[in-house]
Amino acid sequence: MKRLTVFYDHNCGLCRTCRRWLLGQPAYFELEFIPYDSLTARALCPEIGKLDPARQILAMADNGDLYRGGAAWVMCLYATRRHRPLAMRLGSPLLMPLAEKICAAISGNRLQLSRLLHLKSDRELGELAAGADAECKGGTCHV
Amino acid sequence: MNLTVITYVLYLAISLPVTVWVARTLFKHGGVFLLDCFGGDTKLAESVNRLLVVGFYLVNIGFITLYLKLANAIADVPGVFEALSTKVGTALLVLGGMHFFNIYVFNRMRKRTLLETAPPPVTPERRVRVATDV
Repeated sequence: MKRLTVFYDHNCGLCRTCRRWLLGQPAYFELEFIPYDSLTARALCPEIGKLDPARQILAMADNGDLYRGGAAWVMCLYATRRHRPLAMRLGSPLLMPLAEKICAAISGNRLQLSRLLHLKSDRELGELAAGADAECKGGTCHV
Repeated sequence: MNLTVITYVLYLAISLPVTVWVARTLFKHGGVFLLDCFGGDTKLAESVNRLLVVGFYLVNIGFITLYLKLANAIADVPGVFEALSTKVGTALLVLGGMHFFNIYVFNRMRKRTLLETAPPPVTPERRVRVATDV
């Protein structure tokens, strides 16, 4: 495997935090994050509309293998050098059902959790940056 | 020739052959671990094995020779056994510690290699068509 494409929710602040954390980890292969409702996502995976990506995170390997929810999260951890042992443990038959439940719970409440933790999403930050003045007056920036 | 010298001779006569025996065991059976670590590269595994054995000999023979000196001269025959038991016992414990440490190092190296080539722990839900021209 050379790349794992993760179709994430760019309206979710928690998703943004996770994305940034994963991208900062040393990894065995490339992790690529694409908003699930973007044109790029539809171009990469024409069937994405039928897979309900808004409900659970989707990850696609370069051979088309698709992972959803808890399995997608385990694959993200499997990509990282430091957390692959954890991914192997979570992916075991004993712990996988628990991992699925936790991921489903977080995924289902991600917008509320983002609000609670005051986390801004990619889309919100993009809008803020687009609306900000071209020059920062007086040496301070309000974005 | 007095009892102290006899004790020294016996100490070396026991400790050094045991060191050689442990080193040869490690060399013979550690090779399999290393071969696995280095993806079947026989030459590399053999080379690392020999290097590790050299290190093992240096550290252990070094310790055994440094530990040789007795604080007091031996007065009687029971004294020979008592001195030998302490000296040989300690030397064997150190050898044992080094031996387990070597195995631990081999195992860590093997685990790291296995982890790098391990397949994903989860199975995909399905396989989708991937666009090839994006």
